Amino acid sequence: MSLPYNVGVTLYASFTATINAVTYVFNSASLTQPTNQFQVTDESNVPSGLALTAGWATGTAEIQVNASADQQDLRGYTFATTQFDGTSRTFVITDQSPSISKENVRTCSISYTEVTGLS
Amino acid sequence: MTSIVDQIPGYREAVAAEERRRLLAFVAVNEDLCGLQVKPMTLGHIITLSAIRNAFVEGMEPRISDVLQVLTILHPHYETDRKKARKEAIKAILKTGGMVAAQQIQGFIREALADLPGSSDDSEKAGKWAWPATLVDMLASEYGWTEAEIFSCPVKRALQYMRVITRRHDPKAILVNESDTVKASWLEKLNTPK
Repeated sequence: MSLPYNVGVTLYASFTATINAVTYVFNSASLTQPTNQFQVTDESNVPSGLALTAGWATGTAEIQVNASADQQDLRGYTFATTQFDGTSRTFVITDQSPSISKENVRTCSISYTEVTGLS
Repeated sequence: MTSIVDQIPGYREAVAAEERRRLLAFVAVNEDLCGLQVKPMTLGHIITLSAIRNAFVEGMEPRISDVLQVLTILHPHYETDRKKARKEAIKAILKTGGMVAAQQIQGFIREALADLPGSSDDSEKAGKWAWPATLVDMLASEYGWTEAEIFSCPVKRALQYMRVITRRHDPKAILVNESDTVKASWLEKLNTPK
């Protein structure tokens, strides 16, 4: 039986996305689409069934903004990307590293989880 | 989805120039500065210039004496014949003009230090040691180089080694490229309210 979902990391090319009305460049963005496994056992605790469902897609990216932009706590904000097939996906930022600045560049790492039902 | 390289004017060229600059750092030849053949800038040069409070490394407005100091210290004969080094440096300044020489030196130093790491926004304001100590510690502990060897290594190479070591220890370490400034300028236009 083949797995119904991709398991592993999808590497994205650099792209731009808007977070809280500020445009960022996303470098080295990755996305992991895990699979959840549900096991069912009978009354003797012998495995009797298995179901696979898609887990929450999570990812990390190094993001860059102009240093003159307001420094923000990005946790809890969302951003949307459009895949090559035209599908739009929305993610919520769950973690953010301290930022590094050099000249007019400010950059930090973020972690995110895909959300559904938001546009 | 359009690639960032194609989306940002000048970014592709900046990346190509950066790759070339980094590769040329490993060519073991003297460099041209104000029409003078000079040694590639080393950590030792920077420390010497800092010690005499040279304006180019102290971030101050340079005077003609600062220009002369840089060209003399970088001269290949500085260690063996300082009189000759100084004489040729003066000649180069007279030929180039003080203002142009100062601009060229600024560009030379900027290029040499282009791979310096960025600073953490939440780091303590009072440092615990001078930044060259970090470079010496990294290269000595990773490669077993002596302090003298590190001081005489062109800083363009030393800073690239520092990046490699940083990334090897932490694959997610943030490294800011000089070409990122092109992206930042482009983002600044996008993010500035009209």
